[in-house]
Amino acid sequence: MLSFQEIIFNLQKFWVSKGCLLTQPYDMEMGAATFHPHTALKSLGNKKWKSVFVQPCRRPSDGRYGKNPNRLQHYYQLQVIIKPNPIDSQEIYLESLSKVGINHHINDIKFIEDDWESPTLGAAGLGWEIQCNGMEISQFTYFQQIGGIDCKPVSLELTYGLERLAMFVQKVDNIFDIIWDKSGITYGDIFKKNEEQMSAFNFTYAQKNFLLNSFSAFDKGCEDLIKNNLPLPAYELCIKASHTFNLLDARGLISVTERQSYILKIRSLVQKCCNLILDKNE
Amino acid sequence: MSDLLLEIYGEELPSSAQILGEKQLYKSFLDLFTHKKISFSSIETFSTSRRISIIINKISRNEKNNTIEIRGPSVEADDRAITGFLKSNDISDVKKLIKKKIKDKEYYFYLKKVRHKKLRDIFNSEIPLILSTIKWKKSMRWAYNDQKWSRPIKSILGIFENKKLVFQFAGINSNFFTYGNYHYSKKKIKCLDPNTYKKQLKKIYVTLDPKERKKIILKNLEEFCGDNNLKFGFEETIVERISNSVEHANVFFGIFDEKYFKIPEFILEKIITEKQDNFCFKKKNGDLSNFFAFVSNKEKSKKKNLIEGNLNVLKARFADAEFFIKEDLKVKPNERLKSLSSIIYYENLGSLYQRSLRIKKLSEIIAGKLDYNIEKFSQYLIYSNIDLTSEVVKEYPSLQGLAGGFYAKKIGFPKDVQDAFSDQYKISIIRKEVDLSIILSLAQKIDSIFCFFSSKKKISGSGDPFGIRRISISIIKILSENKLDLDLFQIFSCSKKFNLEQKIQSIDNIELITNFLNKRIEVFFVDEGYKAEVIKSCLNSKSFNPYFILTKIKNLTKFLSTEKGKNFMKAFKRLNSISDNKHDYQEVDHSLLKKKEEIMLYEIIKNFKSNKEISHLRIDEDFYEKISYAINDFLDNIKVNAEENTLRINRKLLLSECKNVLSSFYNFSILQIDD
Repeated sequence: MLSFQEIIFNLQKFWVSKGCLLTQPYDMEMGAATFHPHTALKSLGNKKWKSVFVQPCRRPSDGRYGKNPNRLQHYYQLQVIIKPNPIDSQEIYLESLSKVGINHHINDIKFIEDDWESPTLGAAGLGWEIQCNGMEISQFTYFQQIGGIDCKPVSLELTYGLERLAMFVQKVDNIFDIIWDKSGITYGDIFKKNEEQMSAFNFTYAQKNFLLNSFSAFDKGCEDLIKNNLPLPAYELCIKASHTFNLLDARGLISVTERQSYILKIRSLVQKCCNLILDKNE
Repeated sequence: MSDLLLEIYGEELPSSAQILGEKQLYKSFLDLFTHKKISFSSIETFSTSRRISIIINKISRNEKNNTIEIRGPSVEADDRAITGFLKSNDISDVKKLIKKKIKDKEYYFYLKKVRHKKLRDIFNSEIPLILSTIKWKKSMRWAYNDQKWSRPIKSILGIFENKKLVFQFAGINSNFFTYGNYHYSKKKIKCLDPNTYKKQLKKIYVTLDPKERKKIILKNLEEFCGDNNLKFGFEETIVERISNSVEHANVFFGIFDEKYFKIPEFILEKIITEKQDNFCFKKKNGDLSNFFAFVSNKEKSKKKNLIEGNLNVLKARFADAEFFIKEDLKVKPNERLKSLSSIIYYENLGSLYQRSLRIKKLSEIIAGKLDYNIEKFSQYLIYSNIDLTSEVVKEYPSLQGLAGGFYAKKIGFPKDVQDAFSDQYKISIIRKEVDLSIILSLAQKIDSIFCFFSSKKKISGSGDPFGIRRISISIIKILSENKLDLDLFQIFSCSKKFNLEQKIQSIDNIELITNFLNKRIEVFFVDEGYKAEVIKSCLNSKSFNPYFILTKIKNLTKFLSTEKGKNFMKAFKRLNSISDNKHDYQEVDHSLLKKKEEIMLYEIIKNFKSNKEISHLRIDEDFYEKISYAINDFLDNIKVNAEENTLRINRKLLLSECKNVLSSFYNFSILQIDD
């Protein structure tokens, strides 16, 4: 049985063998690996790009105080981004599953329509949620737009939900029972306490005024950086604004309707960054 | 055989794209064949999750060559012009031309023989065009390719008269092979005969006909329901969607533990059908059973893996739901109200708590207008939004309302209140008489629209991120379907007052909202089959009463189809073309009316104005007949542009007055009149 870390090794090794650059996680809180500049920003323009990396992700509202066997507010995604997309993308993906012990001949791998959209990134793509015997294990997306700009050529973004994949491979019902390495250390040993405390922070203790002020500061700071022709640090502030928005959302401080205004604000900032990056050909 | 087969094979197509792709291919080929005068015996289209195909049988065409007539210069033209014409058309001798007269002048003509393009050549050149003009709901590019399809294409099979066609689309050359169900084999299959194509595919686990796959699924479900004493009845759209998710349909059945029935059925159903795209089953008494079913390309021998896997996912999702409900029930209703006060509704429009207060007040106002006694329920209405702070709604936003009803029951609120909380977001609520559900639903939707406009946000062309169009349609439906007399202009005025009382932003000009709603109601009733101009003629910006508007539209449509209606419109057209409203600020001087025709018209208008009994809901055909005669008599016998200035102005004033009176209920001037 493959351990959690072996699953990561095997997938990375596989994608490196397909010509991907093994890059590293970004050092910021983000809701999905798509925010990593190696995905979001490298998908712009016409330069070829192939990369694989693991990104820790945070979705504050998914916190369950470590009590739910299937949910975490902090988890890992393994992301593959290839520009332009290979002709046989689906076949290569199915081959990658065999490297973690999922044989698509005996398991039901379904490509379920899922037109992915990241409202804050102004990104949209067409593709599928991939289910293995009903469990979502990956997202498969052909990027059509980032920051409101058409992707030419089109990139393929593959996102493996590593914990889901490990649960399936290791046949465990509880995320915290995932075996991290051969010595038997579990996911719960490393992260259970983190989930308990961070859930309390996300839902109860994250400070309202601090978050609201931070959001305004990131918004303003980002605009200033754009004015000063510095799209890369400006984009970092978009990532920060997005995470702050996610915390406000988890704290239940934004109504369903007001959410939309925040999303549109972040999207407009990202769009400006992307346009500037293309102008500067970075 | 002169049969054509085209198959576009690629990555998994959404169900809606399969349906749309089939329809558009059918229509495009039909248009092509009609346009090119090509005959055929049948056209059939098919689709699966990976392909869309079309087969056209017994294609033929009258192969006689056509001639076209090319007009040359006049026979009197100089030699240079004639030689130029011969040269440009590759004609060796002027004798090959014929002469024809056009308007007394003689011209040279050349009868050019035009060879038919071969059918094969037509298909080679036209198919790529057909493929590129399909209008998908959503389409995509891939790699460097600029042409769009619903999902990436992997191969194109194009066969005519048992030979491959030669064309290219989206960077892919047409060929004579296809693929089977990739869950079973990746081999290429040679296919040159459209008549054996379906059978060939069947052997490699592809059931090409969507109807056949649906039939297989329904048969399996029916047998299962019979064996287990369950109700047989599944939503057509769900069966279609699930059947379109495969190329080969095998149905698998599973069962979950009854312990999960402590979760409300509406949540279980949501998880099974929407989140997992599985079928759920109802017992004969209507309760949910613990069976579920799903469809897969995989063969039955793999069922252990598949059922176990799918059951585990359901269990995980149920566990999630249980967790949410447990957490939700820990919080008391008043604590939830407190949480609502810290949630911003719209920027500068206060909190959700303030919105709940407004909804309560609006409900009371609406109840008063609709003669509904709301007193005994008023105290509960402040809680109508508390489910928005619940974990269940955060996880499944579409359950807002239903979750509210569920928690209202848990708290012990009266049944009417539970139902009203559950129903408040429904698009349509039809009742025999007004109830709390209708009142609350209208109140929260009216507040949504008023606040949206107060927030100064804009609705873009196709986007409706705040769902304002949908909410507007819901209000129109509820009021018109239940025949409720409610003028929203007045209710929006109350909204304005409540916003000002709460010291939050408010829109000043309510007509901006009614103008927006008028556009929505026009679209809505056009879809219902009424004429846009008739609808428009029943609208104004000072009121918005959907039931009255509908009644007016119905009455006017009926009236315009009668002889009296047609005659009236002719008379109105005459009136409209001559009256100019230039002197509207003056009154008609009765003493200047001398002739019987002008006195008659004046009297009819006067009576009409003073008659309080006249309802704009009912069209009094006799009145319109009378005034049609009066207008015609006036215009036939009276010189409007009289030489004497005061007389002329007075007559014009009379006509303007007549037009204004007639336009007070219906704006007849915007109606197109058929002569």
